[in-house]
Amino acid sequence: MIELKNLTKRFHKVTAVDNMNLTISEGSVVGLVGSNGSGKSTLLRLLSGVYQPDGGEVLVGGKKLFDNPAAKGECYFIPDFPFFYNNSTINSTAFLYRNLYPNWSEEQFNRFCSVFPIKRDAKIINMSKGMQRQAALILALSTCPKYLFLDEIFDGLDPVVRHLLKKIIIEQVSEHNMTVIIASHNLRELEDLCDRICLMHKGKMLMERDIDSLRLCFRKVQVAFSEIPLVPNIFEGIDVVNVWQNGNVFNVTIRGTEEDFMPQLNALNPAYISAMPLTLEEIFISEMGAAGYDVNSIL
Amino acid sequence: MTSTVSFKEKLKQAYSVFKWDLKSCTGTMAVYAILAAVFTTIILTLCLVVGFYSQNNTAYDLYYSSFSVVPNTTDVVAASVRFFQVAASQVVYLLTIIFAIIYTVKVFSYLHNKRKADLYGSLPISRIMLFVSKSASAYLFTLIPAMFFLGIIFIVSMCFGQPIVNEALNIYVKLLMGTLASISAYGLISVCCGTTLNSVIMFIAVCVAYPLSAMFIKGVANGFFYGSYTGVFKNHFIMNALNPLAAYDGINIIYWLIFSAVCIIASAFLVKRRKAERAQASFAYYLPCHIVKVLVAFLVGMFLGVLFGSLNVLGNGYLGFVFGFILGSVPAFVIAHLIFYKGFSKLIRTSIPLGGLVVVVVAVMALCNYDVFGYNTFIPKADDVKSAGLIDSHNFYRESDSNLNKIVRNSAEDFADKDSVNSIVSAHNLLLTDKDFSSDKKFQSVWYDMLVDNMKIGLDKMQYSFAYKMNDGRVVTRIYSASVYGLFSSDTIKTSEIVNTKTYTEKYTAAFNAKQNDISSVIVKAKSYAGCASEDTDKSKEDFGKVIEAFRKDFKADNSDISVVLAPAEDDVSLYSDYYGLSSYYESKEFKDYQKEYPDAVCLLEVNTGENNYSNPSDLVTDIIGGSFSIYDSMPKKETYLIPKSYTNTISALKEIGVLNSDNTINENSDYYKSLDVYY
Repeated sequence: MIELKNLTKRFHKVTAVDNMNLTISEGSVVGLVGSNGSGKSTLLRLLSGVYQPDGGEVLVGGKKLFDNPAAKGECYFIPDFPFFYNNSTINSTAFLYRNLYPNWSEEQFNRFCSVFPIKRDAKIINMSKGMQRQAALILALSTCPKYLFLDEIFDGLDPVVRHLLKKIIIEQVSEHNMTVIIASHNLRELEDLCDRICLMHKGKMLMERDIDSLRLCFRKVQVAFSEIPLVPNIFEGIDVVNVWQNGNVFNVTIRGTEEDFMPQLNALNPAYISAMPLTLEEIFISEMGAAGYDVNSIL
Repeated sequence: MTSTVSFKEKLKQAYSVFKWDLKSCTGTMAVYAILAAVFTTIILTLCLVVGFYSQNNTAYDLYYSSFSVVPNTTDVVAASVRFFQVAASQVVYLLTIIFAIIYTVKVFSYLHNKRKADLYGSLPISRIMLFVSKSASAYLFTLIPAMFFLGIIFIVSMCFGQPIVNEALNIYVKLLMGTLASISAYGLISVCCGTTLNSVIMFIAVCVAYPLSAMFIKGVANGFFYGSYTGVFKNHFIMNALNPLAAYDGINIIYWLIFSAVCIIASAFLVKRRKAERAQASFAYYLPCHIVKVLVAFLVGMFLGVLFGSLNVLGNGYLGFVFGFILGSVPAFVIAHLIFYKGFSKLIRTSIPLGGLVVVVVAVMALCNYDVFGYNTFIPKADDVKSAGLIDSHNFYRESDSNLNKIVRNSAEDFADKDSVNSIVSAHNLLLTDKDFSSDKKFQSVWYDMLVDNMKIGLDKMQYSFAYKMNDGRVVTRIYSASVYGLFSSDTIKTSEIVNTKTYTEKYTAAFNAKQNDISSVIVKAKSYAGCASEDTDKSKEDFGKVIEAFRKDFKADNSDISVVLAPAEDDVSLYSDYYGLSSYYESKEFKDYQKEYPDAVCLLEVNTGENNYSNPSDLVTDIIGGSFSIYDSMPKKETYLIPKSYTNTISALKEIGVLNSDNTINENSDYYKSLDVYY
């Protein structure tokens, strides 16, 4: 289990992670989403023991991670720009990891080297961005981590490899109860893979929820009226995230299910009404808009 | 809650990191190996070619004549191989230093790159273990290849039947100490810095600015406190305490071991607390940055200040100094800030140390310049002096490792009689007469000290010392040497009344104080010559040791007028006084001159100490590359005594060893008989 208790990290005057509390159970795949600079990568670095918290604590498997080699041996972090020396190959890097990570599996290493379409003796630095990420993934998965932290891992991967990666992660989670935290802006991929989503903005956790319940609790509703009802607030009593009006047509994002808002909307005699679940990206935009981070407020 | 990793596991982790670093440094090591192999081969080839060719060729003379020395061995090939040993070892030594810097910079760069910080920060290895592993990698990458090539050099030498020469062996110690100190210091600097560039600049600044700053301080002490003892600055520790590259000199080993240990412990302490996010920031810890900025500002400020002071800018040396110091230190501080901080941020806030530096330096220099304590002109009244002493360096022998300051202080009790005290005070007065202690002279004196005196590393530069034990028990000393304040002349400074006394001779001359091994030669001169030199056999040393012992016995027992025995010494004082440091052998009076004056004279006994260390070419190479200037370690000095007939023990000893015939003439059949050419 991963526990964040009042976790805070500051860089001079900027608070990158602000008094964050979170509990992630074993075997979950959690997606970290948020605006640029929201603190996702910082959080991953705190989780992997690269950074030391300025306040609060991170417990991974019940252990503090910072400068704790034994605890770190069960974690693996792939940053957004993984580092490789100029003459590093997958094989040469494996030499280092083989002796450092207690759960290193030669079998897994050979398996993943054959699964991912890259050469294990080629210099990683000469590879494309996507191939470098595959190399990092091979090494990461071969350490058989109990906790895997991935930062923008889909960036640069082709659709086939993305699909392969998702498949492998799901396999590892189901077979080895691995806990995975992925920070990404690629919400479509997260939607397929994650069972929980954490939404971050300005170092704070705006929302964290199971992805299924998240999908269920937001609706995109289009309501058209032949004549707009003459009431002060048409949507009063409904948990509206945002509204966009075009003539007599209202596009409304509502937090809740049809049972919560349909009776009230039907009471207004709309000419047309439809409700459908939001994609993760739409939920993201809606929630960020509610937090004051939308295109209109930026422009 | 924390988990632990067993020691065996830690070692395994450290080994993995070492091997990982080894792979990343393979290319650099290959370059080192190629260069070392090629240079070693080139030197060996040239040495052998010259050696074999010269065996029956006049080129041999040409080869050695470039060193102005005569080789000890007649085997030219053997000499060439010995030369190869030293030259090739020196090349390996230099290459090792250069590559040590490259490896070290590379190995510690993991602290200065965000991507590397992500990699190493997430690895399951403790921060201290990682740092120690990295340090060990840097040490071993430097030392193992060097040892390999030095081993090859020695094997090649042994194949030619040549033992390993000391200079080549010393390189092991030098490399070991230099590598340990430099890597430890750079490691500490790396932990404190956020970027590799800052680390390198800071390391260079410390290595260069510290010794130069110490030289300026020494120069000021010498220039502004004329007669003060600054021998403490000859101490390697004082001049190089913070300069880890000085550890490559291979001296002060204990200090450098402590220095390295402190650096490693401090690094380990700091690296555990170092914030990984400081990678690619200016600094992780700012204290070294402040120190280096102040050090650089001080150095540049002193340079310009002393320059302007000596040029009497603004019509006053001191005002010129203040103007120059501010003009130099402030921009230097700002530039250092711009480099380290990559901009003007925090400039004002971090400028407080600069303000403090300017105030302190300007105030201290004012006190020095205006001689607030009357140091330069102090000469006691004879009535206030209980006892006094004077040492004239022309008639002064001391062991090279003896403490000059202590000897001078002790000399304060040499002469308690009023006449002698008056004589010493009078000589002191004469010495300071007409000395110009104006501001610009003082600043010029700083340059003289830095540019002239510092070239004579290890040389005893003292010409005259005065020591007084005052009636109130205080001991006051002054030690004078040649400077921009003017040279000394024997015409004005009369020291013979003190120097040519029994007390002085027994206390300060080589004949009475030098150990047998410190005497380079003993020569007996009459109408011809005989003698032995330090490189001669043990028997010869023993024989001439007997002669010296007998002379000491005779001299101590001599209650008559010793001016006869010391007559040549008095002549030598006159000859040397104006030409300090230059031998005046050629102008010495000959025995026949003394015999006319003293008909009882039997012979002259000449005791020589100190020697030119360039006895073979390898020493020259060591000195040039090693920079130790050992030529100045012991300048040749000569003492000559006239042996009268009354010195029966001395004459008997000379006869016993066969130097003198029964009629007191030089025995030309003696083993010790030598022609003039050998000695001069």
